[in-house]
Amino acid sequence: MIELLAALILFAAQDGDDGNPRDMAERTVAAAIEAHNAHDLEGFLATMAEDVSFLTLEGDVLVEGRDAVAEIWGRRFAERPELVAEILYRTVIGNRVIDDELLCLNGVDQPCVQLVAIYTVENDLIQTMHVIQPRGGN
Amino acid sequence: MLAAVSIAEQANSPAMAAERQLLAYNARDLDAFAACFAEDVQVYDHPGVLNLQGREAFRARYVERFKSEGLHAIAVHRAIVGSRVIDHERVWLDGPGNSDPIDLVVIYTVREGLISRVDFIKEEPSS
Repeated sequence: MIELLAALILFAAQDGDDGNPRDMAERTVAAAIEAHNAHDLEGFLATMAEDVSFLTLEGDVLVEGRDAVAEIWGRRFAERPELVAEILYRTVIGNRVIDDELLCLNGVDQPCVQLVAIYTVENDLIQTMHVIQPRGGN
Repeated sequence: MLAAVSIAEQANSPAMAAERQLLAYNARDLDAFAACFAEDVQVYDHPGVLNLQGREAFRARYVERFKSEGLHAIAVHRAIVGSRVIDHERVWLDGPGNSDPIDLVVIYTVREGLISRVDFIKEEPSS
């Protein structure tokens, strides 16, 4: 009985280590948001592939490459000490994470913008983020 | 007058368009369903892979599916961002008692009360 239990625990642990794409994708995005909200640029960048891209739903490129992310968010973290993203709801479909979020540029007490971000995670790193913003699209 | 304008705006709102098509889907009413979409609707598999184009082609896609009496879909969560409605949907192709649910995210882009673009985010079949 104890052996069975041990085997089950081992199995569960292995399952967690290997992870399925769904759990890994969720963990990666959760780490990105946590680092973003801590204004931890290194931690934020560590969740992204070197050739990460941020795009509109139509596929127009907004930001390309981790270096560009470093430059933009480095400035943003410095200029907006209250910048925070609040996740309202999260869906995970395979290796995709879809966040319904409030982005508050000047803290939660100031007006925030609702947007939806779709992350595609490959090899534990964010490869693309498609963002749906209020004025985007047709 | 203002109230009438407001009601008309609501009827044309992105949320109403998404809701109307979900109701028609669950009623398996092909005409009402197709009527929710623009004639030149574009349907994509995320990210941006054009799957089909046009209301007629879209309608044809659902003829077989709507024959399943148990067909049922719910919006588990709905976000509205500008002209877009982002639904986390759960679909039972053969009824909640007879089939496992499929979870997906559907993004509806609405133009003048009609859905002009649909983006599906589905789990890719494991290779």
